[in-house]
Amino acid sequence: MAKLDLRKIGYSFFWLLALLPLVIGTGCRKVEEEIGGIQIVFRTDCQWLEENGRREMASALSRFDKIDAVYGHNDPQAHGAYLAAKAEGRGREKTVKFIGIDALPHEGVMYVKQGVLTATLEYPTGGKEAIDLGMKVLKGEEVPKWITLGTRLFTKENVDKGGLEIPAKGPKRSGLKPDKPRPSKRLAETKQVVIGMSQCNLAEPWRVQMNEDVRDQAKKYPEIKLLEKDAQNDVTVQQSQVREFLTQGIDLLIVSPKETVPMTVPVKEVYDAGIPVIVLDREIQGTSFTCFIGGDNVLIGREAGKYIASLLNGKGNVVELQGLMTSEPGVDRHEGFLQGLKDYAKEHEAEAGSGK
Amino acid sequence: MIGAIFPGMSGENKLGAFFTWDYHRDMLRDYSIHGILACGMTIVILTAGIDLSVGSLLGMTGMFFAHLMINLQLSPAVGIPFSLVAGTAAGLLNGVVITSFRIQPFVATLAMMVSARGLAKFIGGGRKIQAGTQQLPAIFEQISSQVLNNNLAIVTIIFLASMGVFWLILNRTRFGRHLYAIGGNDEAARLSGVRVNLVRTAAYGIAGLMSAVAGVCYAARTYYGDPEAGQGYELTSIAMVVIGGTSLIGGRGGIFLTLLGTLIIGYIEKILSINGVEIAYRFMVEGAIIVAAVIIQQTGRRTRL
Repeated sequence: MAKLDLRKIGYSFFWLLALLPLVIGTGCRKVEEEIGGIQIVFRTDCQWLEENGRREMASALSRFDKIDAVYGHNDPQAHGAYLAAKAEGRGREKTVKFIGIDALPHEGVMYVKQGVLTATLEYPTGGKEAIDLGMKVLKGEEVPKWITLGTRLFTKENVDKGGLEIPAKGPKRSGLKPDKPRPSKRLAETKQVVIGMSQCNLAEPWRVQMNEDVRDQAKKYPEIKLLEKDAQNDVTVQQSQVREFLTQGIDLLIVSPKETVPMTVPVKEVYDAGIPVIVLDREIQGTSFTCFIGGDNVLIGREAGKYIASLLNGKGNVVELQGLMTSEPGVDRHEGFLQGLKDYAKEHEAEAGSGK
Repeated sequence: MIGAIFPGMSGENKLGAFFTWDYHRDMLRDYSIHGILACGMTIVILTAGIDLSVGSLLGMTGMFFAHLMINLQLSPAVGIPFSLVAGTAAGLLNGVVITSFRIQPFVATLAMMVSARGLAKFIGGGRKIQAGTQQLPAIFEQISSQVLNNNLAIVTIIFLASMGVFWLILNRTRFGRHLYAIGGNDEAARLSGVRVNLVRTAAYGIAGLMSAVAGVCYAARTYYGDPEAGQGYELTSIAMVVIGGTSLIGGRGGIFLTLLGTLIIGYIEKILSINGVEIAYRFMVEGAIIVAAVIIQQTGRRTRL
């Protein structure tokens, strides 16, 4: 037994050693990007996962002695980075600034309260707004077709006051005509309405929060009866669940689609049957919906960039822990971040120029 | 100079990060939890079985542990044993279903994988269990700390210690030899007086126990109970066992090989991570290396014979 083991170890380490230089030599740059005085020294895709954020940050820490800030595309990744810095044992968790995104009350906002994260930016769920707007629609009021929500910046100073409001710069898609008001007969006659909420995946904390926001706001209207369905991250399940709602006889549909294209047809069926539809977070094609409500990841990324640049006075080393870069939010938060850094650099160039 | 040949090694550290102990400590710490799972997995695979439920059991026991410690504020002397018992019980249930109902291990543990994940979510109501603004129990900090002047993580010690214990079990006890016998030929083992069903059930129980150990470590390392914890860990730990050279057909292999597999996967991921290699290339390289490893293991076996 023991003899066999030794031989195997020999073989395995032999090829591992042979592969080492190959693997070590691949795809590495010392600085990923430099904007103004800010150097992005390490950048990697963490697929939204805290444990990946932690592992990648440990790598960044062992490569770079000077890291001033970490920009996590979501709060768990930023938190993972904090834990990595803590585990390193050089006290760097106290000097590096950690900035995350999402600001869920039980997650990012709490981390800011604890002093783990320096700041977090809210990615609004729109759940509360969906119920308010839905009731307006059912009462026969006109609502805008497209609403882009702003964000809130939470820091230690303002976290107890509910953060700093940053409004959006108008809707992302403009020039859409609002629907003609169609007051609900059932609401007028029986003082009762049934609202269906189709959620694409309740395994994500952010979406759990969305449902909770919807539920909490619905409790404020005694006439609402809320039905919830969870598609468990399967777009075909969500298609059939939306159609189920149609047969169940709901008065309003709130849907947070998993995918744009496959959800367009079922949503159109519901809308064409005369039931108003409020779409949350992810878009659907065409105009067969009553109202779209969503956040703006580019805006959030940009604010994060500006905030980090001002925190470091425009100079320093930044680690960027990206979300899944094949997903839209990941790309937007990255692009926005670069824009934010550029904005800051430009403003301060101008200031320095005018100062002279 | 080295930096010129191996750009990945150039950082701000003079010799490159690869030549600092921190690098290796981080790798060991990050893959200890996978390694602990792989210990239990080795025993199951030696009996020609498979356990797909270890990742979910990790999540479930982590949630259970966090619930006992954070929500109920119990002492660790109660919380840890209860969590370990919960994991072992789930593992034994796997074993009982497999042996007494003659269900294939793949199916039985797949069912456990799904239902344990459900239970994990049920415990926390779909949410993480975390201390929030209240005081975090000290045990979390203790397990996730590092000793020897911050040079060795407690989880790594737990991992290496379980490797040692498993080596003793497999090589120095009757139970260990029975595991090999069952994996080699269970009918022959039965005829020569091995209580096949009992040993097999115990193997799954041990895998459950190791999942619980990993679950407690995971919860301590992250400072909360996460219902989504450990997703995909079952595959990583199977890969660790197989890369080491333990045969999926059973009866052949050992715990030492699993240590090797753990180090190989750990180092590959660490090397790719420290170079900031893009995720797409990482997956391709990892896949290629798993195949290469198994091929090399088989060549080794052939030349020996």
